[in-house]
Amino acid sequence: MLPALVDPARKDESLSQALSRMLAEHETALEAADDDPHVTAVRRLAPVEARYAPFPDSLDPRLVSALRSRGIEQLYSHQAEAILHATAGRNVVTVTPTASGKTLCYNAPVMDAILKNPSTRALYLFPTKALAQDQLAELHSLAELLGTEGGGEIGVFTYDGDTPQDARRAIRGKAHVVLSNPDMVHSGILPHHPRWAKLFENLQYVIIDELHAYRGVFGSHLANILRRLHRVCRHYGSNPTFICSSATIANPRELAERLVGAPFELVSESGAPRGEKFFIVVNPPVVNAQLGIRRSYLSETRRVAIEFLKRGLQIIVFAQSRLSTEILTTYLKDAFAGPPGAADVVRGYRGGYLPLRRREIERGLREGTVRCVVSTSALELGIDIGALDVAVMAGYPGTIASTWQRAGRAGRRSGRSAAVMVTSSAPIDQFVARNPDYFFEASPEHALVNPDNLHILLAHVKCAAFELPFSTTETFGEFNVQEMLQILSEEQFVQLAGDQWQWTHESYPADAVSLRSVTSDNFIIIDQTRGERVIGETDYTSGPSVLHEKAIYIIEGQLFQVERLDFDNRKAFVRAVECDYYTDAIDYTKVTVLEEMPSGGFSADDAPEKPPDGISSRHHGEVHVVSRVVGFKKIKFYTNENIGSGELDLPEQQMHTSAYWVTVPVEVMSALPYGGADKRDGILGLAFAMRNVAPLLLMCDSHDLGLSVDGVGAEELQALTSVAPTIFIYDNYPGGIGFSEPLYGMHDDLLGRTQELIDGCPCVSGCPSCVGPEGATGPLAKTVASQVLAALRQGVLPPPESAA
Amino acid sequence: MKNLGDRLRAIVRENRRELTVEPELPVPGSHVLEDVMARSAAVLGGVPLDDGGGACLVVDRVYADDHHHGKRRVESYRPEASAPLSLFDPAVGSTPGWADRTVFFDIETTGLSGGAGTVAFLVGCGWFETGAFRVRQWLMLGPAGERPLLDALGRAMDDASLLVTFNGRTFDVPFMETRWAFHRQSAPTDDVPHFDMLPAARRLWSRREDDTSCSLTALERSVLGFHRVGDVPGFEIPVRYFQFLRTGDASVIDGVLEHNRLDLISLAAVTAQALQLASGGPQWCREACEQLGLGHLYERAGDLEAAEAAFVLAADRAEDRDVRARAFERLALLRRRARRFDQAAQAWQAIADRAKRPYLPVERRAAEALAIHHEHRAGDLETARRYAEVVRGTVSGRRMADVDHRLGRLSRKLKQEKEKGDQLAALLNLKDPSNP
Repeated sequence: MLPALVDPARKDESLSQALSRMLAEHETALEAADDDPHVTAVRRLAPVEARYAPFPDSLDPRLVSALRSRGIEQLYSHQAEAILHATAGRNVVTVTPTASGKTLCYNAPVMDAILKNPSTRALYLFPTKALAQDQLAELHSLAELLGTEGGGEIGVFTYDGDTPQDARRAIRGKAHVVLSNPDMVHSGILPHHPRWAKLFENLQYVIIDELHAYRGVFGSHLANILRRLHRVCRHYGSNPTFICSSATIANPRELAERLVGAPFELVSESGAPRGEKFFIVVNPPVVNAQLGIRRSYLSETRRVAIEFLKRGLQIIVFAQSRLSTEILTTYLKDAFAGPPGAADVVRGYRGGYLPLRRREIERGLREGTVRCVVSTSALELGIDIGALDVAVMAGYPGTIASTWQRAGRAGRRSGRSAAVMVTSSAPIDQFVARNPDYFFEASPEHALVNPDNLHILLAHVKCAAFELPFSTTETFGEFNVQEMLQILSEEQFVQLAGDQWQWTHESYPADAVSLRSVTSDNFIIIDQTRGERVIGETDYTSGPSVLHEKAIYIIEGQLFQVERLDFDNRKAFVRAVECDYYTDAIDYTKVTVLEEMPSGGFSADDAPEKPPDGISSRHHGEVHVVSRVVGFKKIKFYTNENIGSGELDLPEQQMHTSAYWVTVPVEVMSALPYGGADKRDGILGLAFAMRNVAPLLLMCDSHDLGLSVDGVGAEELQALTSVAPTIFIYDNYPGGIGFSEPLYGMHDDLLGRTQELIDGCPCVSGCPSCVGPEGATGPLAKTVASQVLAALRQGVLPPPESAA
Repeated sequence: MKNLGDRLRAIVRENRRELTVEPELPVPGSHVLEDVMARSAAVLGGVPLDDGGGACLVVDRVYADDHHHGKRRVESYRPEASAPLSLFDPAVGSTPGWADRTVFFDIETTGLSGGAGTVAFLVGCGWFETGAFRVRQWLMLGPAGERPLLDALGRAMDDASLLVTFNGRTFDVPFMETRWAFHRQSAPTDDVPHFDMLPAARRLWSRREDDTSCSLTALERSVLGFHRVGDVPGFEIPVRYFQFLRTGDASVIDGVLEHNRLDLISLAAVTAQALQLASGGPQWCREACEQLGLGHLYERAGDLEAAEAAFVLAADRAEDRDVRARAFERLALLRRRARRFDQAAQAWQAIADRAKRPYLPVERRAAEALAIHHEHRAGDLETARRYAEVVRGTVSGRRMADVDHRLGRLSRKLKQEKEKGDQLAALLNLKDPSNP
């Protein structure tokens, strides 16, 4: 049973008690110079005083007085700075931590403009519908307040897929502020711009919240949607100012400029106060030194979370995947199982839960009835869940930016808070655990977008041509679209008439584009334990791996077994079960090179010298990736024993993307004094390590990359003397998102860092933190991988005497 | 190594949908607008629009009064100011002078989505002049033709006293409003009273309760006795227009213009028929379902006496079980509202007498009404239960729960009644000295 939530006044004390053990452990390890300490780092972030600035004189007095009546007597410095830029018509991006009053940075200029000219319109874009709903309440109350100040009626509405058809017309006419998302702007607003003439004629501000969420495919789509928005605005004679807010990333201004296609001002110094915060890194202890196996990080996370929960604190636990979210939810529910029928104080939260359930959990967190939430990255974005006491991260979130984002979920403006990261045995986690300074001092990641990805660009050029005819001299952003239009005209989508390309197709091109994934398809999960009811959904891409027949599907700790997957109709039928294991899918990926890019085309700065001694092993170009779920493993809860497996026959998924690859020359392979199986283990181990180092160098999310190794199959093993194995690291998005080329440029650095990781790892013959666990690879994987690396780097064949 | 063009082509073709009509190869150099105008004008029998920049063609056709459309002559479809339009649409019907210049209106578009990329490439208006019905069509020969087309249409709207469309409230008028908005102009249609014939037609001529597909071509056949030959099917219309744009060959859209003209005359004719039926009354109707529809109209307009008479006639004349049942249902509802409960029950009973499995929705509703009537008004619990059981066999979900609730209550009441009876019997028995 969980003790009651501690009184706010005594929270600091409770937190100190919970932390004291970890702090002491850290001290002891430091004194003993332990080279594998349990608590590897403790950082105390000192409290920060607020810095204030007065309201700018230009602000409408009604707005100032409304804010005063809400207790806002002055602005934080960053708010004033952002407001001044925006009201002067300069695009601005504000980078501020959670709970620093970022919404005022955009709400103030917008409301000010509406008060001064009631025909003014503003469009807000949020990455999710939930975030828009969250903002709606705040804007409503501000608008209402302004109404009482004599500001007239200010219409604020959400416009998204959930907006009823009959309300849409009224919203188009009445809304001063439209809260929407990129998907709706793409498919519902831009293609119907004449109906929105009033909005576009008077559009003064476009707000993009959570700017950092728009990277990769989603960002590349948004950049093109904004190109379309600019065209439509020009048609109606408006030229809006953009106000963006972003979490901390390395390149907020660059991202904003790339997305919007215009120069930006950057406001990055937050004036908001912050309470004292501890950041602690916990590395689970090694339990088998020989195999380099550490205690399960999920169990360790469970232990850490319980420490805080039993002292009456409210916490959020972040897990890396949907599966680990469910496993941790199960563990923590078990630990605090109340009497039957008691309200759930431990909840799970992830994409795929139905909206109603999510809203209920968010409310529970704000009201304190939910004491612990275990979430995927879904709660990383700014959904209002109040200020929690502690954030526990199960595993390194994969990027520095998201680590800080997640850590920021705990912490109030005053008072103490803590963030604890429990590292897993993944190489990248171990790198962070062993080099905490790297983590604390490194710049967060760059958010990369590639608006000119041909797949994405082409789709949006079609949409744009549908919305307004292109002229024969027009460009799309910076891109010259005339050749593209010529080809679209060959295929009869458009036709040249005079100096305009006229849309001559029956289709509604926006329907063919999904902004978030390859397809807009999803699977729904139907529980037929008692009658039939829909309990969740899963996107198309991950459908086969989580909903195959006999898979255990977990939702908030409750177990279901998939009885039937109706692939064509995208339905999975499940039934509640009691069992002590979960399932993990095994997939198989095959990469085929479509076209290799020439090694030229790089700026001289990032292109290294020609590889030494002519062992040319690096490549990049376009590839075709086919992946298929071929089977699954049954894994026992708590012990993680593999207790069985099964084979599956599911349709394959395909994509065309770009990749960087390394081919290990035949001479190197044949010179290795080992057997075929050992050579294979070495290559697989090397691939495993490289794939884990690459995101660190690229400063991208680990999920952005995929790995496949070619030429190590059973039949090729015999012929290793004539077949050169290839390690592919591909962009995990159709069309590619621009990682392959930089990775190609960083080839030498990648190999060097990989060698550091492998050679520096204290394990004997491979572990999950370098070349992979010994059980999965072979006993010589580490040795062979290291020799192959040396050969690739120095261009020399492995010395024969190194044979073990 | 593929060049950009080839890569783009590969991506475009990957996603290409099957074309419904195999396109002809574009004729190079055929797109000189003057040539297209000259040839189209000749093929389609039109003239360039004045100030149309050479990109908009006007095609006029005149149908003299003695021309036959269906079984009747064109002149018989001429709108009369005395016609009871207000029965169908009180607001529009009460506009003074609506019949002065009634303009029938229909458009052909490049798609149904109504997004910014779809245009009304052909706009047709029809009106009666002295001695004839005139159809005027504006055809865009390219995007440059839209502005002049909209201007010309705007002038036609300014002259109109009433706009009549078929489904224009949902489609044609909002679609054109979008086009005016696209060109940042206000819509002239805003100032013209608009009568949409489709809902009126549904009320008068829908055969089935759930029938919403009351198409103009179907009405043409059934109401006017007109049968089209070689008509261009709707889905081909955009494809043909795109083909015309590519090849400049106007013969592919000649049929589209004819389709639009026929739609306009039929619209005028169907409208006239509807108004004549409404003023003639149920005795003029050929069919029971028209009488039923008329009854609806009268009821909505507040003439309950005329409505009841129409329903009675319809119920009496109907051969179709569904039409008959629906006529009785309207009758029952009308009488119940007038608190003539027994008469209402008779009408429901008339439905029940001819009901057959599988029951029609209206028959289920009758059973439901009878269950209520017998439980609460007639006090015949046994009969009420019988009807409730009938209802139970036809419903599911929440409705099933409602019926079960009713059945539960009925059986409690029946039990109480029985107990009362038994008690009474027992009392009587007690007094019976022969009882041991």
